[in-house]
Amino acid sequence: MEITTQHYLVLGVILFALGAVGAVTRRNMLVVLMSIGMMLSSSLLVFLAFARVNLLPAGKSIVVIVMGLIIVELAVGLALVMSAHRRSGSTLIDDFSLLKG
Amino acid sequence: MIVLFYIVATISIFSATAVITRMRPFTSVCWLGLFYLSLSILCAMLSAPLVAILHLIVSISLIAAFILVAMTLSGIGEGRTRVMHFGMILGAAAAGYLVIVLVLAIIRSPITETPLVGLSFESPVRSAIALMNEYAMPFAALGFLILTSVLAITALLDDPRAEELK
Repeated sequence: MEITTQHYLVLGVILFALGAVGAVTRRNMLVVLMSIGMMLSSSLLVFLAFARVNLLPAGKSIVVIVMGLIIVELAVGLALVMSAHRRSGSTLIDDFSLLKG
Repeated sequence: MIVLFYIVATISIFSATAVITRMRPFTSVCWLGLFYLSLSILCAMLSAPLVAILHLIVSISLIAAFILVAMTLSGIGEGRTRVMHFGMILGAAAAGYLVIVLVLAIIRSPITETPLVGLSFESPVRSAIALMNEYAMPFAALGFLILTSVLAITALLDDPRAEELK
């Protein structure tokens, strides 16, 4: 039995769904940030799986660029968490309702 | 190979579930490290050892930053004694297993020198050539994004009390 692209796609979808569930249901900003990072990282898996099938380097180049985007997103997110904690002493999302309509 | 895939996939799903179900952020960060490690192995299994190494380096720096922030916010390391739970021992054992598998996968993976016709990311030289030629535009855009993020972080973490201290 061979490992096919479908194996990696199903795994990528499961990991993306777990990250989405964490991003929606958790209240701690840090865990939400980690969940978003998990979603982005699972997309790397899908890119690499398709790159292996099509024998194109474009998938791997996109993976390198997405890795940079993950770093940027998480760095700014961590700075936001620290800033929010400094201002209000809390990292719970429910404590921030400035833009609530 | 398929057995290894299922083992690594199970570890990655289990660690991802632990990240979103643990109550303490510091524990979630530890499980996130295991998740990133398993993803690096999956990258190596997809015939991309260089991407696996890059992912490992990136994830180590991210986990270090997360651990620092989690320790700062939750006050861990202030003299309180921690008990090793069964889940932490299990996670540490899984991480050790994944490290051994990753090292073996990278050592045994043939990083062949492909001809210069076409593009390949299988060696650092080919990666540099591809990023500086064919993918120069997104690579430059990424550098601009990183610069912008550094400026944003500097602005966000600017302490208003610094002026008063001066």
